[in-house]
Amino acid sequence: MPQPPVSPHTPHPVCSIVPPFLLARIATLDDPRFERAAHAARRSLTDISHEHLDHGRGDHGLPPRSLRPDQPSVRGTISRAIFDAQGAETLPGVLVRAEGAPETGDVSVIEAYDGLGSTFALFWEVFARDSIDDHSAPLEATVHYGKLYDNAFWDGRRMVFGDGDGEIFDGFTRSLSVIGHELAHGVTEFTTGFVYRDQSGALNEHVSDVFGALVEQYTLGQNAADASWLIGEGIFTDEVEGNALRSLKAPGTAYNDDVLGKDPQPDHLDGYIKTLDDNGGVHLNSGIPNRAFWSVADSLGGYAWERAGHIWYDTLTGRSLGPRADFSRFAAATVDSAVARFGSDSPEHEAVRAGWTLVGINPTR
Amino acid sequence: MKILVWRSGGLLGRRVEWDVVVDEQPDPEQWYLLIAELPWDERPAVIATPDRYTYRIRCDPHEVVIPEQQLTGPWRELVDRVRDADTPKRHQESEHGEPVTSGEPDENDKSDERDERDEPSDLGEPTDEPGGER
Repeated sequence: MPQPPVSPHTPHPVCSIVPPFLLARIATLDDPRFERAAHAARRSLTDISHEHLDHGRGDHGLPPRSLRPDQPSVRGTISRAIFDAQGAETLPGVLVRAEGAPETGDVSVIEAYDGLGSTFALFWEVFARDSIDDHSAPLEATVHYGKLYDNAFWDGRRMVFGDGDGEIFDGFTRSLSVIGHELAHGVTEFTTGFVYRDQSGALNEHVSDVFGALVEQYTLGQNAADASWLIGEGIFTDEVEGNALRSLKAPGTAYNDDVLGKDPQPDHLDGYIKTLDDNGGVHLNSGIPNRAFWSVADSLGGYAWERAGHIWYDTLTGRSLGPRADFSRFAAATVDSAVARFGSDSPEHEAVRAGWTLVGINPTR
Repeated sequence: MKILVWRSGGLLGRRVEWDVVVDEQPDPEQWYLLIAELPWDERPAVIATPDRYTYRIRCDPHEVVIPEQQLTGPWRELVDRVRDADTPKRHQESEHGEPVTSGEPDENDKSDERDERDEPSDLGEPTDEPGGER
């Protein structure tokens, strides 16, 4: 397809515009030979300003979306809505920013809006997934939920953010990985539907951590070696001795604080925590598959979303896993996905097997 | 009479605990009234919501598990009272090494995770419980 070059000094290219219907067709090409063109087409279709996104590659081969006629039926059109609960606990709260509306000056609203955009961009531009349901579902978030509410969650329909208690948490919307984590719960709901307890629940959490990390890395243009692999970096107050909620690279090292205690995540199946708390430790045992994913991305190098991310996304959408899958079944499915996408003799297949070996999980169907 | 409240789940998945000895409170009658009106034998429907909290409340011989969404009305009032009454404590190790803190000042304790099987009778004295007085 003709892809007129866009000069970085020309804000409005004068070259001919690829018509939207053609962009849409290119965007859905699944042939690996056209992956860059398909990616670029999806980026062009995305109704998101790319100024704040630094993918580190600077390749904008297609004209920006703002020059195209409105095509609301085209896949990949984001629709965001941010609500303000105003310190109460009723949802959704008051609509304070709809898609395309200007900033209101509320930092939480800005961060949530941008974070939803970044998450949408990862799923659409890299995985060709049109919102969490792959059918243009509106992305909604509520901020200022409750008073000093020290949490953020996905309620089945929207993300909800407290402001933090000011003692441990300083807010949640500032973390791209947290926003991505919450939205990814929605993606899991529409795909494997992992039941939120015990091992399937830990997989649910794991998927959210993986795609939360990838949202951050994709937005910042970080490769696997440069990335922090932290979830929720920057949401703790200065009083907390810790970097983040969790580390995919080194589970159990994210924090060590006299109030929070030490990050309890295991990094190997031998450390699996049996508990009645936390729905069977879903936020704890997620560390085990998290480290496996990091290992795959780290050994392959480059951008984690390109290969490791694709393998995991294929696994999520491949329909081979039921809602009560355990670690072993999930691992086997990732192996199958790697083979299907990259071949049996590929370094990707090898990296996936090695990743699960590292954490002591045996892929079994 | 002692009331213990545990909150687990949330983004971090950690457990925190608050407790009060009712007779040591300035208004024990209000506490007893509240405790008496609570539906201890009801089992709230448990649906797991990602990253929400789950509360476990014990007032011997009763114990219930309540997801955040269902922590409303008198249950919410009880938990808020317990949290407000509990003095901040230093962290303590639970039996399996998971630190437990209590007395957190945040007023908005409305986190839920919903357990799919509501098993208050099994909770009893689970091994991951710090027991005894603090």
